Amino acid sequence: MDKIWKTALRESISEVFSTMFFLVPEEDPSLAESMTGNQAQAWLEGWLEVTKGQETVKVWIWSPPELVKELAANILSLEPDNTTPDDMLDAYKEMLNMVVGRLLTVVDTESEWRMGLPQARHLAEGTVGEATSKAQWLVSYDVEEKPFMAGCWSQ
Amino acid sequence: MGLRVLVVDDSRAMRSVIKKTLAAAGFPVDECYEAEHGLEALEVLDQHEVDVVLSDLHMPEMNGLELLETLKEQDRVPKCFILVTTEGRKDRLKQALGLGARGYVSKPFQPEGLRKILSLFVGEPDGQDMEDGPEGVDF
Repeated sequence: MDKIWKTALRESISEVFSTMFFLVPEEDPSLAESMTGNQAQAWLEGWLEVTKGQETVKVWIWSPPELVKELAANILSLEPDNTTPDDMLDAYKEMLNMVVGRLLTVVDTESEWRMGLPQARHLAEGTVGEATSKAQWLVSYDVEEKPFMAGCWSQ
Repeated sequence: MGLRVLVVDDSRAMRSVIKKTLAAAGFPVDECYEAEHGLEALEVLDQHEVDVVLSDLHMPEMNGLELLETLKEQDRVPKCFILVTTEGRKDRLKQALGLGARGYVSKPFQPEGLRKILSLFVGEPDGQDMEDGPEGVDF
């Protein structure tokens, strides 16, 4: 399952970034390796659960506020400095919603998975390393010199 | 006379994208109402007549299918009810079509995708030519 989901997640992230946010993410595995510490500042975290019977897959995304501001600005056609914290959370949740929806169109060929609603929050400073450690696997990107990470956990 | 449109999505960002796409495509829009979920959409529809509903499926409070079910029970599904959704499950999309939705656009979408499907039901905006068919009216 991991390989199919990982490939689909990568494709989905790439499509959503380029189609809706006009940004090109470049995969950078070294980023995930350097995130085991707590050196990052107050990042944003988004998460969404999908379920199939007793199975649950949780998908997370993490980014610094600078990138999320840019995402919100691009989708709302605003200047980054004119975006509000609510704009950022809204844009981030919608991006995750599209990423996971697109992912399910690839992996859920039997229409068995149920998708929840996206959630997002600002993490406390220095805790993103702890947050990313929840995931069983991670993919990480450089988006115009800003980091973006996604991860999955399944049970 | 321009279109009266209702955009139903819990994301303000997505509502903004849809409204801008309509404007950029050249559709004449007289009124564009917004609702965050199905319950709000019903309130808008109680107060205003609309020509087009563009609705998400996944929403809190009342989702798009529940909205369609309610409208169907009340025999007042707008003639042009189109889903703009991340939903990829064919059974859910078929259920929506059975309740009166006319088609769907999958998120993420290119503006052209929304323009094409809307053109089928409200006509081409000024100066636009149809090319391929819309992505979501045929299963």
